[in-house]
Amino acid sequence: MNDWISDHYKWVFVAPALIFMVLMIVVPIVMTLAFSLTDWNLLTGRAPSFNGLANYIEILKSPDFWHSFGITFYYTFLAIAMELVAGVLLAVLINKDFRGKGVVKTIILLPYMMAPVAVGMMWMLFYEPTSGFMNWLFTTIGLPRSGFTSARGSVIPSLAFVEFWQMTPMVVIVCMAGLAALPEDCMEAAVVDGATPIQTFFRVKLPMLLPTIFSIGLLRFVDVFKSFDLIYAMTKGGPANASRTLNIYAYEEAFSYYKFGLSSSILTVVFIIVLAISFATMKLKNKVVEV
Amino acid sequence: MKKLLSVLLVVLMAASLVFAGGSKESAGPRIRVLSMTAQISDGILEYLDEFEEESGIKVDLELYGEAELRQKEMTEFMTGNSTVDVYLFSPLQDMAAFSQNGWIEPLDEYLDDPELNWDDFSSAPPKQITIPGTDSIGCLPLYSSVQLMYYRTDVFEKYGLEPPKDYDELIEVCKKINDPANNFYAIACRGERNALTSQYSPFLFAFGGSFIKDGKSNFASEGSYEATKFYGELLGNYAPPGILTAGYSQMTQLFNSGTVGMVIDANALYATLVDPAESAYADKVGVAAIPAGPEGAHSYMQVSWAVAMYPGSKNKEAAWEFMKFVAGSDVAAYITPLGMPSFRNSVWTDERVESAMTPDMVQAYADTYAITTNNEFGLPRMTAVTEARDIMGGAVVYSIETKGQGPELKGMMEEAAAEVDELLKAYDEYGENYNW
Repeated sequence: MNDWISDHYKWVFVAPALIFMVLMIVVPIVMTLAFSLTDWNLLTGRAPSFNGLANYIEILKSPDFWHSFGITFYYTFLAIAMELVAGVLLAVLINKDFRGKGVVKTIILLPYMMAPVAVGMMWMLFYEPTSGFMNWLFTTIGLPRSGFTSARGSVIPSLAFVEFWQMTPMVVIVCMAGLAALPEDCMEAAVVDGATPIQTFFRVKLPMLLPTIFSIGLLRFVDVFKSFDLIYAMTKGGPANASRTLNIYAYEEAFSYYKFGLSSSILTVVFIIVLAISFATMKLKNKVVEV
Repeated sequence: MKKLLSVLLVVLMAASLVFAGGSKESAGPRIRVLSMTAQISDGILEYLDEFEEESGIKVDLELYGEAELRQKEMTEFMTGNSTVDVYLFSPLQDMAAFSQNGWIEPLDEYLDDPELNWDDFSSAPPKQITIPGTDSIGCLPLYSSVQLMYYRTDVFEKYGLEPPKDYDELIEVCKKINDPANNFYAIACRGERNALTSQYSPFLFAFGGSFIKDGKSNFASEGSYEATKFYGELLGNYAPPGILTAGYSQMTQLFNSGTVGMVIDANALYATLVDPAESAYADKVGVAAIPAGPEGAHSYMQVSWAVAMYPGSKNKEAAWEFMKFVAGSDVAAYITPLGMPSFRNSVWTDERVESAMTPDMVQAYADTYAITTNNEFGLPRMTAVTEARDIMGGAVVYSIETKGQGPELKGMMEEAAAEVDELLKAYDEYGENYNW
């Protein structure tokens, strides 16, 4: 026994994690994939039977799916764009040494520490159109009142803003780590050559920070694209279907309409989209960084 | 090594002693019950110790929010080896799916139990508690849901108004008390796509419309169109701006914050509206039966929640004892004054109930129960009920958004009706196959 362990010790060490990974990650993915090829519908009372790609054909033909598809991308890109711009700027700003830096960093990090559902509930009070804080703020600074999460046109920007408010600190942390790792001599050389702080930022810091921005951008993409808790807590996909992202759509098909087969196929498509975009981003990152 | 082993052994023994202490084994049977965090569970908890002591049955009561409870039940039952004995559920929403999958034990042989007094439940709508396709009763109805109209007595007094009796009067009252400039709106009814369907149903029937007629969607009919238009006009013009995402809980918030003068919604709202801890207007709540439309007043009368037995229960006798207790007169007398009226006829002569309810509430119930309606369910009766609600709800939302004037409303309702017909066909319930 001891000899066997000595011969295969690296596998012995890896085994617990490997078994855990297989059970917790691979099995659910394979099961979802398998369910997506069946007509599993609790309302029929029949046992699930294999129906090939019928679910995929149904969802790809469904305007509801494409509506959710568009909304998911709109929400994701809006949130990520705001998070990356604000995150990088904040990171650069607080990367300098100044009095009270610790306090500022802690305050910026606070939203990140809150649970998404609690954040959603809090912002629903802020967004309440008749007596909420946001409309008070809007009217005080001379802007027209908004329906925020209760109007079709403003619901996605309102949700994306909450996502941005909560998750920008994560971008800040990663970008600060990236900035700390940048070689000082490049910045000094730029200053010696007479570059202004703005030129230094755009011509030196930002290009060197690009790999970090790509990485955090990708992480945030995966996270926002599959966002569920915040949206479900705030609007449940409404008003009408105006904020029904792909994940909410899949949840509704399964737990409201009992169509588990169809829901699995939506989730599989989400999985493939995330995988494809992650892959493309990595490729792009390598290309950009090489240049 | 030996030392390590002995330490581990001691830790294990200590742990087993500590954790074994937590679950005191009783001699009698033990059952597991899934319920929801609401007044019904407060009622159960109020008398649970007494029940456990008298029956010798140990009850493990698990409480979840309404949506979580459904999800918990579905995922647990789907595994096929659930240890649940008794559970609460909403038969209107889940009886079809649950019974199709064999998750509901028929109760016929238990109903003769004299301790239950099944005759006392004669007001319970039988269709809602019967397992579809059979004559078997699948659950004990716990409390009903009807629609009532709540209004601010101080506002009505200020303008010298009486609760509106019909839709013309309703609009008149709305015009008089609506004051958006001061952040005060005349009325709130549900505007959230799925949640609104039940509360919109009395309006639908009041204009002679209905969800389904002769096994086909009736949503595109003239009556249904007029009703949807009216609902849109009412909420679009006289409800607060956030109404499109407003479901049950927002009705309470809007009334309790003094934002609206009237709310038309379920009777379950009442307890929160008159609770001084929840509302600054708790002593200014009037209640009346809903106003009538051109075709009369048509509140629904739903079996809101019921208690059922899981067929896989290993303690069916104990489970039945517990079910009798949950549907019994003590819990009934506890929940009825809280706006969750029991189906037990005897509850209205129970002293505890008589002394706890205001005369206008009793009158509102009496008026509501006196009406005859086809809108007993308040929902489209079909297997894919949730999906159909979402489809039709979408058109109603559009009507509210456009204050009932939207040019696409008719087209949207026709489209929704066609989609509902497709659903009926998909589950073999279309036309003459309709068996609800």
